Amino acid sequence: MLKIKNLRASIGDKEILTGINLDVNAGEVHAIMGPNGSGKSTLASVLAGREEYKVTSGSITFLGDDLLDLSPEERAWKGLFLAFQYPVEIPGVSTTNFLKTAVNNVREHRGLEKLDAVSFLRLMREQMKLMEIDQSLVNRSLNEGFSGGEKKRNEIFQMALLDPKLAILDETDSGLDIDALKIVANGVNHLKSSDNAIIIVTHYQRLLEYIVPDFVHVLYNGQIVKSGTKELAFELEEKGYEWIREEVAGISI
Amino acid sequence: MDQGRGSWHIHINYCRERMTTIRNTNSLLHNFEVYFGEFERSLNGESQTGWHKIRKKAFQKLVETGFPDRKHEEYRYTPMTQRIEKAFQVFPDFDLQKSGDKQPDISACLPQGMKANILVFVNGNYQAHLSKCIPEDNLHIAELADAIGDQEVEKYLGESVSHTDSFALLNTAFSSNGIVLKVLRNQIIQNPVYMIHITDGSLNNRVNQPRILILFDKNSQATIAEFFFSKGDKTIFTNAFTEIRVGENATVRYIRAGLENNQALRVSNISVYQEESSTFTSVNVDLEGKLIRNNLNIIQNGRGCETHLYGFYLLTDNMHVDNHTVVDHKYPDSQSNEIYKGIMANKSTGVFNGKIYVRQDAQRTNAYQQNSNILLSNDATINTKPQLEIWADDVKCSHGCTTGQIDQEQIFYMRSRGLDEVQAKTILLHAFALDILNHINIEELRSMLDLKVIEKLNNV
Ligand SMILES: Nc1ncnc2c1ncn2[C@@H]1O[C@H](COP(=O)(O)OP(=O)(O)O)[C@@H](O)[C@H]1O
Ligand SMILES: [Mg+2]
Repeated sequence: MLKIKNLRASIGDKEILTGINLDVNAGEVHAIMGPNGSGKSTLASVLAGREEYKVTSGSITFLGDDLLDLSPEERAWKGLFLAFQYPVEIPGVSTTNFLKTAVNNVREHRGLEKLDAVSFLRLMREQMKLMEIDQSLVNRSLNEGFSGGEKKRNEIFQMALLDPKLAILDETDSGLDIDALKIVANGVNHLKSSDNAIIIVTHYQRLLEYIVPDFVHVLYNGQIVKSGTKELAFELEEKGYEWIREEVAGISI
Repeated sequence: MDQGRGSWHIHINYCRERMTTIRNTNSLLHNFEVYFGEFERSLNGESQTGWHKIRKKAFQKLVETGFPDRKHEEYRYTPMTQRIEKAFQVFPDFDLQKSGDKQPDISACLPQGMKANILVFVNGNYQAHLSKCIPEDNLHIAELADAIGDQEVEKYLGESVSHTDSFALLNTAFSSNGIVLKVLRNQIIQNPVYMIHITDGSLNNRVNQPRILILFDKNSQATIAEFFFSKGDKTIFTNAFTEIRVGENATVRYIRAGLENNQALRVSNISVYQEESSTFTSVNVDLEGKLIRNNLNIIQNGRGCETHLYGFYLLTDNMHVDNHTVVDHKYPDSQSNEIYKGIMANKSTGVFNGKIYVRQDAQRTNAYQQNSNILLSNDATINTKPQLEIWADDVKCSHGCTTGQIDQEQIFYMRSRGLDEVQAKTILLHAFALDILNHINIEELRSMLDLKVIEKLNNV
């Protein structure tokens, strides 16, 4: 589904991703862990198509297409979804109207019929129940004045509405209390299927207790320095990232 | 919103005020002298009345001050005089002002199903036969000519000669087929009063000078709207003057919008006088026209007044819209709240100048002013200048202006969810506009403007 080859990306003159290789297949859940500043959000942003980040070399294919050729919206239409680490507040823009436009755009590009107001509201209500989203939240402006937890839940709610092929969750667990974490994890597990894939970016192992990854990768200084199964996450939790630092330093000596 | 990033043309706090009296002998003034002579002759026997003495006084004062040129501090960014001069090298024959289309089709100006008292002005002249009021609302309208014997009316008309704006003087000098609207003590007008100004710009260049006086007595309430339309594509020059006297404890909402053709030149003088404990709210929207200047002057003449001023302008092509507002706090315990927002595309220019005076006696005044602008092109310009002058010591005043581009973070967020760039941009700009349009309490008019805004946003 997703194939990243030797990806290098920078912002300004600062190189942040220094050669990433990653393969994600349908039905898989990957976790990307790593200390703050290692480049996890940068990778997520490059995948979603944020223009500030310049890809200097390497390639990304997504469902057979060169992802780097596509605009952010084309990526969304093709089934890529990024749940932002810091969802931006958009005052004055109605959450419901925004979501209806988003859902119908995506449906149109997938050859599905557009939803009329009634069917959209029905779909929205179903997914709201799943994510335990209150009506008052969708009546408000997009993310405006939402608490940290509400923003994160709203991201997964949008993911549920858009039904992506590949979802990247950037630190969706941070700032969530245990109840909210369970709601989010439940939602994600409910959406998981054999023909979609999920990349969970986190630096805690906590979320992985609820969404069990098939693979765990450690991102450090812009590279994936270690990959393994879910046991790697427990090891990281126990030993911290110092251990990785030492290992990487050891390699380079 | 980003704060003035990049190489945008932003001029904040332009020069300090200077007093300027310019003896102006330009050709425009000369044209109007000829024109005034014709106007006097057309009045026949009327030229000896008290009203005409007021007109003559106003014209005399105009001759002394002249029209503002480029050096005039209040008009330095808005070359109104030059544009009128250029457009009207040959002045239209005075009689033509009264001819032209007397039965214009107003259906496009009138939202379907709108329940309102409709007052129609054609080429600046009130048309009783096209106007239609709701009997239960019991509106008291008189044509200026019939109301002139009224001492109150004559007093206010006389006082307008002391106005410092040349165009206000010009309007007074040529005042003829205007109206006086009186809202009686304790009267609450349920349905809005919707004034439609329509100018026939299909045959010859037009000069229109509508004059409106609205008197709200104690405890009265109403919503008034004044919308400017035109037909045809010739240059029109509208020089409007609306005076609103808001009596003690009265509540007035006033909506004003410009939707004329893309050659339209317009000066609007709106002078508002508020008495004790009154509330005045205005929403001013400009979406069309070529060169527009609004002078909105609020004088608080009593304590406990409340003033809310909202403005929105969406400028494309070479449009130029200049909003000059004044709020003069003279008595204690009053407040004012002013928010003007603008979007400028292509080579358009916006000007905002907001003066707030807090006089020595106006203790415990609470004044707020904000001007926010979005520039969509490198060639668009905004000149913005908040100007607070405070003589009282116990006051709360704040003001701010922001100028920026569309927030790219917000655009990226929406695109990543499948909105295309144009949709994302339109949604953001529309939200920016709605922040002001939502203050329009007449749903049909709000949605008429909203549709126009959406249509324009889809093309910027
Ligand atoms: N817009 C930016 N401008 C400059 N540096 C940036 C920018 N975004 C990220 N960085 C830098 O890139 C590095 C990686 O950041 P990020 O991808 O956010 O890390 P992570 O998500 O793993 O914490 C950090 O050193 C960060 O400071
Ligand atoms: Mg991050």
